[in-house]
Amino acid sequence: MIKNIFYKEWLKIRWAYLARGLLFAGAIIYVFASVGHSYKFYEAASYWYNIIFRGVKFYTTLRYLPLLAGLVVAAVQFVPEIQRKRIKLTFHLPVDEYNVLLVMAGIGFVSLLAMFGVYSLVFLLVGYTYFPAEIVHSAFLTMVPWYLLGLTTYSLASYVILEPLWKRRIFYILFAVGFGKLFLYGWFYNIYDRVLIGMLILTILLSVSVIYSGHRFKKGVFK
Amino acid sequence: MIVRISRYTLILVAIVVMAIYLPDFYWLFFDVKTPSPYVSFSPVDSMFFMHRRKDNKLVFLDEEGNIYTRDEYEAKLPFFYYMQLISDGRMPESIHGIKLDVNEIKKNRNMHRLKPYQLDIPQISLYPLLESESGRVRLEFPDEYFRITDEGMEFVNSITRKVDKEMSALFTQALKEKGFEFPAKKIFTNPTTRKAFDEGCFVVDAKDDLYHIKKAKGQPVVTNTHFPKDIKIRHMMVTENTLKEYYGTIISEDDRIYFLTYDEYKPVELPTKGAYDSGKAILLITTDLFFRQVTLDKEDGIDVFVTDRDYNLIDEYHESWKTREEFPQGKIARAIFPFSISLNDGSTTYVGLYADWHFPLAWIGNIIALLIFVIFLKKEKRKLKKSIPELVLVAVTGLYGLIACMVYIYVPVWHSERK
Amino acid sequence: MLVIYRIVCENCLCCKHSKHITKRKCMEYAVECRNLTHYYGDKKVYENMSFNIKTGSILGLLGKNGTGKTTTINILNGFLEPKAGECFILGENSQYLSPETKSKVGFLLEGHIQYDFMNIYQIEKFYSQFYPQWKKEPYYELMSKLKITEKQKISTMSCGQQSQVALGLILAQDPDLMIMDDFSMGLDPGYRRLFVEFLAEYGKAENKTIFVTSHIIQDMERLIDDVVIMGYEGVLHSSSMDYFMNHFRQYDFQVKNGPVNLTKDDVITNYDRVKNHASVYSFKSPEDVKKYLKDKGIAYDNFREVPMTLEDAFIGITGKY
Repeated sequence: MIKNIFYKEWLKIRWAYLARGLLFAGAIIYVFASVGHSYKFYEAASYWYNIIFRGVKFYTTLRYLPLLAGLVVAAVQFVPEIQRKRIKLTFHLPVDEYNVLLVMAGIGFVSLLAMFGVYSLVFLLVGYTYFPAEIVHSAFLTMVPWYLLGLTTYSLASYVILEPLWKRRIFYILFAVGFGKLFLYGWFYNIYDRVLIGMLILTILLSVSVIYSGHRFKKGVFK
Repeated sequence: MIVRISRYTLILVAIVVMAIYLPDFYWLFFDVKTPSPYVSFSPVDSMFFMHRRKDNKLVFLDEEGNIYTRDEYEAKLPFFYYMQLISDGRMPESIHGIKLDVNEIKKNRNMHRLKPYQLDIPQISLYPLLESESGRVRLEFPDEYFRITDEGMEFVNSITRKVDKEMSALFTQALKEKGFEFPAKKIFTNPTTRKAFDEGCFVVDAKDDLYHIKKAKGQPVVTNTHFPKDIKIRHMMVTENTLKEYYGTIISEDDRIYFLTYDEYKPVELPTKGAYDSGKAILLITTDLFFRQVTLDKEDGIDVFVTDRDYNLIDEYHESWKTREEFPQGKIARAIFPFSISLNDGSTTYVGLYADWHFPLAWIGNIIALLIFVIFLKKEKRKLKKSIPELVLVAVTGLYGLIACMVYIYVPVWHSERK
Repeated sequence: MLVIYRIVCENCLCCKHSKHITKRKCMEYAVECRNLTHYYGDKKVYENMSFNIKTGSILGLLGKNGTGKTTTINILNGFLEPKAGECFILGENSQYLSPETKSKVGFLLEGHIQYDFMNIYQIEKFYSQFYPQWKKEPYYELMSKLKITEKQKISTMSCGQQSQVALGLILAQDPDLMIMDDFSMGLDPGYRRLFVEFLAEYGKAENKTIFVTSHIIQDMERLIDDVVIMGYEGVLHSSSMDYFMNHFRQYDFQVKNGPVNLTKDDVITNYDRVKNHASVYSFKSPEDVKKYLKDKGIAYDNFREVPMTLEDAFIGITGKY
C-alpha cells in the first residue's frame, strides 16, 4: 500500500523537489560564495572573530528555506486533495482511511527529512573546506531548529489545508504561526542546543496532525 | 487512538503558544516601569547619590531623599563627571586633602558589567591569542585561533585553515612543562584589539588549576597561577586596564566576586554579603580614585557595596520595589492566566522552557473557565462523564485549555458516543 | 409523506440494535438505510428516511438540488455521519467500511472528479494495485475510443472524456455495487446516452447493484428498476419503477365554476392550476379522483388522464418550484 500511495504522491511532489533542490543548490552556492568573498575582502581572523564572538551567522540565508520547503510540499500534496474534495477518492480506496492519511503524511515527512539530510551533508562537506570543524558543527546545530521548523510546518500546513472549514482554519493558522516563530529566535548561535531533543519529540508528535482534520472531514462536520 | 493523539498534541501546542504570547500581549498594555536608579558613592560627602526617572523626568537625589539640581549633583561625583566639571571650570583641586590629577582620575576609572546571560552562553571553542609584545602601538589580531584538546594546544591558521604544527607543538610543550593537564575545562579571554595591552588568556585545566597563557614575541609565556582550589571558578571577565591592579573579575560557583590581582595572582574578594545571584542580577563593578563599587541590579531592587582601595567595606545601599506582578494589574494577570511560559528567563543565553505558575490566584480564572466550558459542553449535547480528560485540562490550564478545547473541538469516533 | 420499503429478509429484522454494529449477515440487499435523519445546524435535510437496494437491481434517487441527494451519497460512502440512523453497505455499517468491502464498491464522484494530475496510464496503474480483481482490458478498450495524446493529463481533457475515464476505471474495478453521484453532470447527450446504456447492460449482465442519483430525469427512465424521490421535506415516494409509472397518474380538467380549493392530501399528491386549467397528480384511479372532486364540490369539465414520462411524473410529484 505504501508503495502505491508513494507513486501517487510522488507524481505530485516530484516537481516540487526538483524546484527545491535547485533553490537549495543556489542558496548553498550563494552562501559559500559570500564566505569566499568575505575571506578575500576581510581579514580572515576578524571574520572568524565576528562569527565566534559576535554571533554572525554566515549561513543565515538558509534560515527560511526548510520552512518554505515544508509549506510547498504540504501544498502540493494536499491542495489537490481538498480541491473538489478529491480526498473522497483517497478515502474510498480499499484501505483504512487513517492509514492512508498517515502514509501520505509520512511520505511527505520522510522525503523532507531525506532532503534535509542531504542538504546537511552537502553543507557539512563544503563547510569543512572553508572553516574549522567547530564553526561548521556550530552552524549545523544552529540550523537544526530550522529543519525541524520545516518538518513542523509541513505537518501543520497539511492539517490546515485539509480542514473543511475556513472558520477553524484561521485559528489553526494563528496557532501555527505563533508556534513556528518560536523556532526562529536568532540572538546567538547554538541557543536551541538544550531543547533540541524536546523539539524533535514535538515534531514527531505533530507529524500526525493531519489525522485530526482528516477525521473531521470524514465525519462531515460543518461547524 | 491516533485521532486522540493528533488532537491532544494540537491542543498542547495551542496551550503553549497562548501561554507564551497572551501574557506578553496583556503586558503590552499594562506594563509597569521599575524605578531602577543609577547609584554612585560621592567622595565629597561620603554618601550615596543617585539619579532615576520619575514621571518621565530625571531627578537627582541622595540616599536620604534630598533633591539636587543637575549641576549640584555632578559636583558631588567628580570622578564620574570630571569632563563636564572641567569644561565648566568647576573641578575641585583636591578632595579631603588629596590632590586631584585628571590623568590619575582617568586611569583609575573602570567599569565592568556582567549580565546573567553572559555566564551561560554558547561558545565556539576557538580563541585568538594576541601577540602581547609586538612593538606596535595598536594590537592586531593574529592569523591563528587556538583550541585546547586532549592532546594539546592547537593553532589553526584562519587563512589556510590548516593547523600550524610548529606553533602548536611549541605551546603544547610549554604547557606540559608547567604541569598543564589536557584538555582545558574553561578558557577565558578578552578577544578584542580595542584595549591598551593584552594579557592573553586564563585557562582552567583538567585538574582545576588556573593557568595564565600569553604570547610574547611569538613565544609562549605560561604561568600556573596557583589559584586557591577551594574557590571554584564559574566565570572570569578578563579586563586589561592601565591600572594594572587586577587582570579581571572572577565569579565563583557560589556567586562570590573576586579580582584576580597582579600580586602573584592572589584573589581579592569584593564584598557582597551573599546578596549576589548571578542568574538574576546584573553586576556592575566600578573603580575610581578612591573607591571600588559593586552594584547588583535586580528586577525587584538594587544592592550597592562600596569599598576603599584596600577592599574594606565602607558603606552599602539597598532599595527594593514592587515588581509588576505585585501591582493590581499583575494580580489580575495572575488570575486570568493560570501560567505563563517563556523560552528565556534572562539567566542564560540558551533557549529553555520556563513556566511561571500563577496559583493560587489562578484558581479564580480557572473556575470561571471551567464553568464556561461546562456550559459549552451542554450546548454541544455532550455527556460530562465522557469528557473528563478535557474537564481536567481546562481546570488546570484555565483560559488556555478552554480556548484550545473549543478550537480543537472533539469529534466523536464512535457514532453512539454522540447521543 | 413516507413510503417505507418493507424489509423482507428475516435475518435483518432481528438486528435491532444500532450500537457498534458494523456487520450484518443479510445479503439480499446490497444497501440498507434505516431512519436516516440529518440536519445542517437547525436546517433539517430529512428525517427517518429509509430505503433498500436489492442486490442486482438499479435504484435511482431523484430529487431537486438541495433535497439531500449528495447528503445521502456522503452517508453511504462514510463521508458524513447522520444525526440518527445508519446505512449498511454489503452488510457493513457505512461509517466503518472495511477495505475488503470498499474494494467491492465503485464510487463515482459528482463531476467525475479524479486525480486529474495523472494521465490515463498513470491512473490505471495506480488503481490497479489496489484491487485484486482489476481488469484492465475494458478500461483500455474504452480509452482507445478517446481522442487523446499519450501523456495528456486528465485535467486537460473535456468533461465527456473525463467521464469516460471515470467509467473505465469503474469497469476495470468490477465492483459488486456502484454508487454514482450525478453521473450525467456536464455531459453532452451523446455521452449521457452512452453511460446509461453501458450501466443498464452492465448491471443486468453481471448482476451488479447500482445506485444512481441525478436531476436529469429522462436518463433515468431507461435505466432504473426502483426509484426514490426526494423533496424538500424528505422522501416523497419510494417504490419500483413499474409501480410508480403504472400507478402515479396525471389528471387534467377544466374548472367550471368559481374558486376551487385544491389541497394535498391522501388522494391528491400534488396539483397545479393555471386559470381554469387544473392538473392533479394522484395514485388513485380516475373514478376515485372524480368522486373526490364531486365530494369537494369542485365542478369539472373535460376530465382526462394524461400519459407521463418519468420526468413529467417527477415534476408532478415534486412540483415546478
